[in-house]
Amino acid sequence: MKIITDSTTDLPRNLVQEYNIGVVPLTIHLGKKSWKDFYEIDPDEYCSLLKRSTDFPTTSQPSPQDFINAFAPFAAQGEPVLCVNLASSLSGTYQSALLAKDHFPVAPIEVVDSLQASMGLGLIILLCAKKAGEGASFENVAGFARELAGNVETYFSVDSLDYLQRGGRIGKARAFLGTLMKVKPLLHLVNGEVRPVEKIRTTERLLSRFVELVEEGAGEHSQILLSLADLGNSEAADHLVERFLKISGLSLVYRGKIGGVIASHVGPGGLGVSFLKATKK
Amino acid sequence: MAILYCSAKRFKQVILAGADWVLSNRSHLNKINVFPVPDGDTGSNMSMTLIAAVREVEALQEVSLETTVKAAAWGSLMGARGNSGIIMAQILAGVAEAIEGRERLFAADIASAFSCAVQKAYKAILHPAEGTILTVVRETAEAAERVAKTEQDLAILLDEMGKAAWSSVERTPLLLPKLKEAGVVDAGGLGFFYFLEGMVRLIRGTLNTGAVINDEDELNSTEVEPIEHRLNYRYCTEFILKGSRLSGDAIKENLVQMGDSIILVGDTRLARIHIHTGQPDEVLRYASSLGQVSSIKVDDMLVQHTSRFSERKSEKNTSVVAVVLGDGFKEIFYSAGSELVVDGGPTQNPSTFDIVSAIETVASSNVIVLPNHKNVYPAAIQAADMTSKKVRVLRTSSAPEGLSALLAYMDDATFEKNINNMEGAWKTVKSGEVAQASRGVTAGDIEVKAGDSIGIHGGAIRCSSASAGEAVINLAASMLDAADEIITLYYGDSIAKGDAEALRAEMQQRFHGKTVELYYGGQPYAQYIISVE
Repeated sequence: MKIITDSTTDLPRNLVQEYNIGVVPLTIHLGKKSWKDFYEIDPDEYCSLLKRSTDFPTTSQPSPQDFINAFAPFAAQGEPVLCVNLASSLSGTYQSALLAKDHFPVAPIEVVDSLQASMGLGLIILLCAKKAGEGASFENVAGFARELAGNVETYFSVDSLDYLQRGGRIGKARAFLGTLMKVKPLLHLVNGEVRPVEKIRTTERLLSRFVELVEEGAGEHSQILLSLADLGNSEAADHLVERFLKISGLSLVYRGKIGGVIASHVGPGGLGVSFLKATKK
Repeated sequence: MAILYCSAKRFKQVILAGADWVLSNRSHLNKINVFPVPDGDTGSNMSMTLIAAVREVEALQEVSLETTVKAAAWGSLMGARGNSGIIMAQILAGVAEAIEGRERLFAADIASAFSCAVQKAYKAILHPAEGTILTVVRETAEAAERVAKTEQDLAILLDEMGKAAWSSVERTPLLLPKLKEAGVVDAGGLGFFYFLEGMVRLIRGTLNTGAVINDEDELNSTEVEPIEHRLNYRYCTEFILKGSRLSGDAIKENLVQMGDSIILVGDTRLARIHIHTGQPDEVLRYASSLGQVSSIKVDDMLVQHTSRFSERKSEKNTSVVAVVLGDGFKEIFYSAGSELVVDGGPTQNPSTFDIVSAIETVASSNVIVLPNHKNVYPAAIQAADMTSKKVRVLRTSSAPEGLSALLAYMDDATFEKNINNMEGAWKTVKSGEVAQASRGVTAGDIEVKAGDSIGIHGGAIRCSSASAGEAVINLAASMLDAADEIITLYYGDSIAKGDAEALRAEMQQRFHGKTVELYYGGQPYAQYIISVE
């Protein structure tokens, strides 16, 4: 079976290659320039462009044809395809993939809405790839992907709400707009919805809250998995990883960089943590 | 020993004792409140009305009997809440009217003062119902007239009045079917009885013995059943109207077209109006055409109703009430999510009543109060105790502390979660202030000259300088730890914006590893309030 996703997973490139995951890119537009995310621009390079640019970036979803092209070789050979995408509440990418699936009426293709973004989606892809690697059936892995979509949560912070607001992805975090004090909003992405958590002043408190929130998750469940994305904030991220590793019950920590599309919507200085609440035994 | 007359001092004492006793029994009164609407707030309303009366009396400078009684009447009128509160205010207003020009009150005066009060109370209510506080007050006044004919000892008179009030309270279910259905006596009437009983207890010297009904005493409480009735006029609307030539009768005539349970008290310049209506906006528009409308309170009684009886758990959100001084701070607090900001701080403590009003006004039934000054904390604690809402007062003792707590607040999180997050947030910030010394002083090895700017942190003078800016820098330096990230300056109303901005720039240079932020606080007294976090 083949696992395909879009370019918003923010998984490390070596993992994408190791598990042979197909990536259909979204497109980034900044000023007069455009890039295919993941393939044409490096996260660090894009980050520094973004910081220097006076323009606000926009992004566009892959066309159904992009997904048709991605599905076609496997459909032709009768190999099952599991396609898991960025939350449908945040992007039309999932819609494009669904339309593409209709072009292959008899091929075994499953399209799943991850309800997540960035490392949250990355985590789902990774766990599905592992399960497939262990020899689970296509139906089993597809069902697993759907289950994970409801069980993965992401907490993230941004330096300013401007990017989320301009990109129209602010959701209920709108409540944080208008705060006269300079704050780092702490936000929560769960079930496809961006929700505000807390307005935070200092980096120290931000990191502590991240750790607390993950600990809360770990306290309720026997095991959590965790992944981390950062952008222009690697010192804070180093520190954070150290503290996460001290939490008992954490079985895994991945760390990756925020890619172009996600960076376009959270702005420079974003930091996120995604984890899976282990299912009850 | 017989008490033959009542002076200003005695009047003040008995009013305090009466108010105190109503306060002690308010939860029981809330519990049995079924008429006219079972919204369970009679005890709180009467308490707040009496507290307002007491506050006016206590604020008096020149004390004569007349000014004392008038202050009580004025205070209760301004602070009156709910039907029962407004009637209570009318009783005090009636007494005030009857004793105009007197320096001492004798038994006969008290009897006639109460008769006057009865008339005033009945006049204030458009559709007076028997079996309520009105009946109790009337029958008490009748008993007073009877007793005063032969008896001159005020202690005995008051005792007899108390007995008459109690037997009248006991009869209220016979007069008002709703009370009988619910198996309770009238809450307002009982409140009036407590008011008298409090006075009797003072005179008998049995204060604090808890002889009658204890606050938590379950013996006398009756489970109240919901009463099914349609509420066409579902909005309980109250406001104060200020005008030049208000005509009470004309206003009442117009209001009657818009609702019922109309109560109008006051004079030609100032009136307090209570009405149950289907269109509060229409009522307020009409009132605005007559004068200036203020202290508006609109309650949906249907919601009060259902929330009281169906125990819904859907209302999980939390509101925040903050107390802070300075227009800049107020704006910052509002922007950060405080639903109401009450003026108050070091030089200007808000009253318990101000805080209670704010708590009652905000949307949620769970309220977190940020007092932001140690002198405000006690009033906030008292206020928390006087409302039926669930209230938590955090011990924030400066505006920056309050602000840190507020930033952790989420309006849709549970009350417990908010308390937890906010408590965790404010203790991480250190705050201090720079203010001008009014006189010279020596604090440890710091010599302060009058007019110098002193830096205060943790209750101690940390530095002193002729220049406010230098005091801010030295204070910040003394508060700063290596782990701190942000120094925030809030400049007061005596500081020019340009000076504050220059100071910020200078401090950013000096503390280059940290972020220095500047905001307008607008506070009086402190030139700068600073925080380090």
